Amino acid sequence: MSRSPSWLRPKLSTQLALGSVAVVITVIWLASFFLNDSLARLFQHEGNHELQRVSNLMVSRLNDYDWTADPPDEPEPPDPDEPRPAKKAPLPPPAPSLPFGREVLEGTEHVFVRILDPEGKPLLESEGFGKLLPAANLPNLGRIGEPGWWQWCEADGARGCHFIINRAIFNGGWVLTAWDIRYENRLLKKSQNLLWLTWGLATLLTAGFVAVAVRRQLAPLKLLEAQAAAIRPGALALDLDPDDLPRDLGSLAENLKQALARLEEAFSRLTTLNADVAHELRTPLHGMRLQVEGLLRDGDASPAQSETLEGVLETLDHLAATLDQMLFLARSEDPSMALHVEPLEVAALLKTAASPFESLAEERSVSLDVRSAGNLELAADEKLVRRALHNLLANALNHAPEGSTVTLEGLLEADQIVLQVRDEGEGIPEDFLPKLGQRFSRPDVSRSRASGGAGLGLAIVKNILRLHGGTLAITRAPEKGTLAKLCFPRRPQA
Amino acid sequence: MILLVEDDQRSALALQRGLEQEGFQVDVAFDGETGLHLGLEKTYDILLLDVMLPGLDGFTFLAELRAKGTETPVIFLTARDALPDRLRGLGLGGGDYLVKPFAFSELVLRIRNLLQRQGAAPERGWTIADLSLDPTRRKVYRGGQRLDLTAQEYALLELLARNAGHTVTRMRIAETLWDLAYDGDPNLVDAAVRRLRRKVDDPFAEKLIHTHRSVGYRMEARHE
Repeated sequence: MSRSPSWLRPKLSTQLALGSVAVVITVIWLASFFLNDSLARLFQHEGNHELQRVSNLMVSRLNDYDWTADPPDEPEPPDPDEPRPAKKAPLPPPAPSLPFGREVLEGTEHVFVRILDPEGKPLLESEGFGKLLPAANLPNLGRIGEPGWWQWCEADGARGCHFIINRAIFNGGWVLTAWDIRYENRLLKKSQNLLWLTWGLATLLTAGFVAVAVRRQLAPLKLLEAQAAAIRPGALALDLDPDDLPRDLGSLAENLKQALARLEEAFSRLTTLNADVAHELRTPLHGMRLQVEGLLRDGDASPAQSETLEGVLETLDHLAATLDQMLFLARSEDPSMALHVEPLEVAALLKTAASPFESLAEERSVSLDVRSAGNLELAADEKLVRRALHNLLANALNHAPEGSTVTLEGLLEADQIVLQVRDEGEGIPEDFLPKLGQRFSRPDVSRSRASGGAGLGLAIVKNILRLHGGTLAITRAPEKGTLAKLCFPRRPQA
Repeated sequence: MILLVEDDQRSALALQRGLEQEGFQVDVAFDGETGLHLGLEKTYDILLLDVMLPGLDGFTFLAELRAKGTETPVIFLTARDALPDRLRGLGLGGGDYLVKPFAFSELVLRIRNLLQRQGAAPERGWTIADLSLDPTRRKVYRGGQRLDLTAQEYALLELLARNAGHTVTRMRIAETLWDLAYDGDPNLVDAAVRRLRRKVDDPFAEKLIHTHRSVGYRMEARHE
């Protein structure tokens, strides 16, 4: 299973911040929309209501006049389809003089009123109405005979509608009333702008606040993260008081602390166990050794008995050495094992490691070739690295045929420092390679035992490398023999 | 005079017998209380102290002794891998520590070294039979003839000559020559000694380097 890309797994803080900002923005936006819409409805409702009132007032005033001088059968079209044909035939002559003066418009100054004869010809109108809505435009207001509501808008509609218009019928013609809604529209526009501004500001403020709040909320998590990163064997502790954290994080920290305490306890139990095992096994070995040595010193034993006793001594030494290896192996399993890491000159290190083998190699006519790339430095625990090299060299020398060469080499490979040991022996059987480094495993049991190995050597080498963050690689050498590589990271791990 | 404090009676008695055969006077205590009592009462040249003692551990033991102003050097005998740091911190009085199981000869060697270090003046070369070493110029002569030795061979010869008459354990040789404190493989030391013998002993009738089987090597002139 592959991990999803990181952008699909945004940070917790980002998720929280984005989420809350989105919610807040939506709520404010809905509220502003609703507010604006209500305001528009209110304005419209009020305008319509006032226009209706004035229109009714005008109709009732105009009906009070005597229009009967004209054909009495002037129809008052109750249904919208009737009036047009009815009016077309008996057109009343326009009254030469009106039966009312401007006083008829009294009290309607806040709206525009235009009184028309049945033909649609203006008889009287409020001042300025003609400029706002030229009479010539009237036919545009739908069929002339119909009462009803219109809005008058700019030609392209871009700047909104300016008037609502009502047309009503009275006995002697029509009354147009118009309500200027430009003011309301401006108000609406203003309020809308204000709302947008509020919305933007609120969004910014919310985002800022949420970001700060989230960061503050997550600060303990960051602290926890830093502390968790510092956890390593030997430093299995959280320097945190769970009571200082938010409740949910507090319990997390508490659990973490308890888990670490259990680990720590297990580690220390392991260490104590090792020490106890060492004590319990070494003490009797020690007693035996001293007694056998005493017997040999007394010189009472026959030559045959002496030889047996000496054999016992050698076996005891071998046992003690194996015990040492096992104890070291157990200790090196514990990653908290203290390392004394210091910069080591590889050339000198290799020379020191090879020197115990000089005599043995010479005796077996094996040449020991030690070389190293110039000025190579390795940060490592010298004792441990030498011990690893020692084990590999002992293996190599044991398998090197007479007249061959064992090479110990230090080199730089990619970003690794490699210390390698190559022999020209028959090499490790292919099928044994995967088992290398397992405890007590040897490719050739009888021979290795004779040479003193307990099969722990490579396991020890492996652990030493692991403690240094490196790896052990054992392969068949290109031509013949075995190539064992100790690969150390160039920069030592903390 | 040596005080041995060791709770494992088998080891303690074997050690006591061996040391007495070597000409030392040895008092033995099987627990810390008795040991401390003896240590405060009498004056000893060397203390051999087991680290893990019933009732009283080596640390407390040494601390009490040092608190009373006793500066006797100590050789700790430990079944652990290494001496705890706090014991080191307390000061061994020029002493040492040995990890069990150790060769008896190794202990004798260390006791001797400790006693010598306290009194004897620095030596001016060594002479064993017709072999002589000049440590300042690192030159070796045998029968008037200069021997050509490598640095390692010289170091080994000097180690043996310095302890002439006493067995030098393989462990001591490996530690001195190569700073090796591990590996039970005796082949390396044996090979190094064989190489030295080829130059120092083989051309001559009288052999000076002798094998102490399964323990180590000893240099001495064995006149018939």
